[in-house]
Amino acid sequence: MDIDGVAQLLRDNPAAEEFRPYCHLSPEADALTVYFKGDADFSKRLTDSITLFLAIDTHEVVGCRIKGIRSILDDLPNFLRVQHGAIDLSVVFLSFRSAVDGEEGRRTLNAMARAAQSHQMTLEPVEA
Amino acid sequence: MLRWICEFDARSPRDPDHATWKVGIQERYFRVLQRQGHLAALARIICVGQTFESTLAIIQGWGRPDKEDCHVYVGRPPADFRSATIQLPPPRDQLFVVFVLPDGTIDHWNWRPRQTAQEFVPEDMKGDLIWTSTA
Repeated sequence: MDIDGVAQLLRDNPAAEEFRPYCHLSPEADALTVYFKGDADFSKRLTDSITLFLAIDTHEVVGCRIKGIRSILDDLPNFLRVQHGAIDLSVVFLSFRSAVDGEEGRRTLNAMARAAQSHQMTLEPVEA
Repeated sequence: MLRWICEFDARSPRDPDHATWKVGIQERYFRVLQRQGHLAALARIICVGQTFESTLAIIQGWGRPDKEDCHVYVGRPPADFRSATIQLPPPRDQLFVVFVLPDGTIDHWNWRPRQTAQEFVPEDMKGDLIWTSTA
């Protein structure tokens, strides 16, 4: 597909007018992508497991990508009450706190956990 | 192979100078972006296409176990997109990176600061640089 084709694809499939926070689990990549805000962003690695998405204009954290998520998700239901198969996303963030060096990293994870909680974000099982 | 909503010809990691292979974006992921109103991520699919048209570098491996057969394509598209109709100059000193799974599925894309020492390599990339456009 060339660039004109992409532009046509975007015209034929308009996005929802208002951004809504979301998380997307990619089993193939073993990674969870989370966005709290829809600002144009860039990536910056926080740890080997977590890459932050920062707004280009403000450098505010607008999302993140968590890698190696499978083992965490496999373990969480053993320790948490899981409703309808969904996992509270804030818990996923907090489970990574011990793997982050430095106060800044821990503050960032805490902030993301709070954001996930305030948006009541849950991680749903992926359909096969 | 999962269903792709759009596909591109990319330089083949096996023979970047002479061969191409098909890569594409899963419809399932595209629909998530569409439904959630993530305009910038959708519009930057244009940057994805431009990165495959004018690839600067290919990195093998994502720097973690079991992902040695994945690749990162690096480019420098001439513009960034905030939406399909709003385009701005590319972020200064940043490269556009496209993460590709072994079956050609495009898993993620974004801008990332470039290394100061290596012009075509983004910061914190832990894979192996297997090809550059100047090689």
